[in-house]
Amino acid sequence: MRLWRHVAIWLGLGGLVWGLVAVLSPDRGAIVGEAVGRTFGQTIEIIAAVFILIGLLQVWVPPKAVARLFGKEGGWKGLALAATIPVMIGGSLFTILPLMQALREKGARIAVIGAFITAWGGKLPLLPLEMHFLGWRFAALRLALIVPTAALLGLALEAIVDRKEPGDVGAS
Amino acid sequence: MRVGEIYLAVAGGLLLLSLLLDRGRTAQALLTAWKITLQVLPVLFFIFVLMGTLQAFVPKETIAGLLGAKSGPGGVLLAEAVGCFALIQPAAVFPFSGYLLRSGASYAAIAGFVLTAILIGISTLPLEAKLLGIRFTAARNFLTFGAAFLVALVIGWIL
Repeated sequence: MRLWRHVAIWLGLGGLVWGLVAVLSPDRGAIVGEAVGRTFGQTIEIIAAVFILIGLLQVWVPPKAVARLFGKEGGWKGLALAATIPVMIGGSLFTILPLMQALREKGARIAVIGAFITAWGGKLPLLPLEMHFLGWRFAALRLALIVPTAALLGLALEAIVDRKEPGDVGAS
Repeated sequence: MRVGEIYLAVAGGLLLLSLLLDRGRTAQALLTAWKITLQVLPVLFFIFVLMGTLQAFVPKETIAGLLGAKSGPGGVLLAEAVGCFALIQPAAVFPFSGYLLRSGASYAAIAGFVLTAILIGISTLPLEAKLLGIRFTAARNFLTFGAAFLVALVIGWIL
């Protein structure tokens, strides 16, 4: 199974680096071990909770269903939704980009696509981790700033992309 | 009660609610959570080893010098550049950022790193270009780099 190969590769890579450090200097190997243990100890409960929440979110609010909202909404309402709602979606760029292509094919504006991707970077599902490591002030500020940034970036992107060769995007 | 336990209690409560509403969906949610665990946890292990290795070999002063408050806009740009190349899961971005913060990096530099690490990926460029076009991809990534810089400066100015 591909997933298990992925598990083996990353565990192996981590073990390799750790082993190399430990061979070069046992003292430093111990520092690495201590750091790994401490960080896992601090975060394992938060991580477990976040994973369960993302699992629930994916099932009850699937990204595809969210994306469907944007196919028809063309005007300011669509842009406003695209700059806010996606902060709640999980996943990595690898899962979001194909969704964006599907949206584009349904006729969504470039501004909506650009705003959607940027707002998705708000990463609300990871908020517990962000607050733990960077503080609630940082997390709240970043979340508050990403919404207007997403809307403006979407509009700027549309202005650039649509200027020439309007058929370029999504045509492939 | 520790913060982690509160989150777990909330997650458990919602899981119970979901179970009462729809058993099939809840099973699906747990399966998704398990897949995410397999996807993210090994990467987190690698990132934590990397953090420990940096801790063991790179003095705090170096990181504080490169990314600290005195590094100014140059430090933010450096952090953003690192973020673009970081091939890490979004979930791993925050623990790594926490390490940088403890080592003396500024909030502005960390904001730059977080934003580009999530939103710009050298590894996703080919996919993005294939799906949405080269013009879109180039414009979005440049704009995101610039926007991350401005947002980082604002965050650094406020915090």
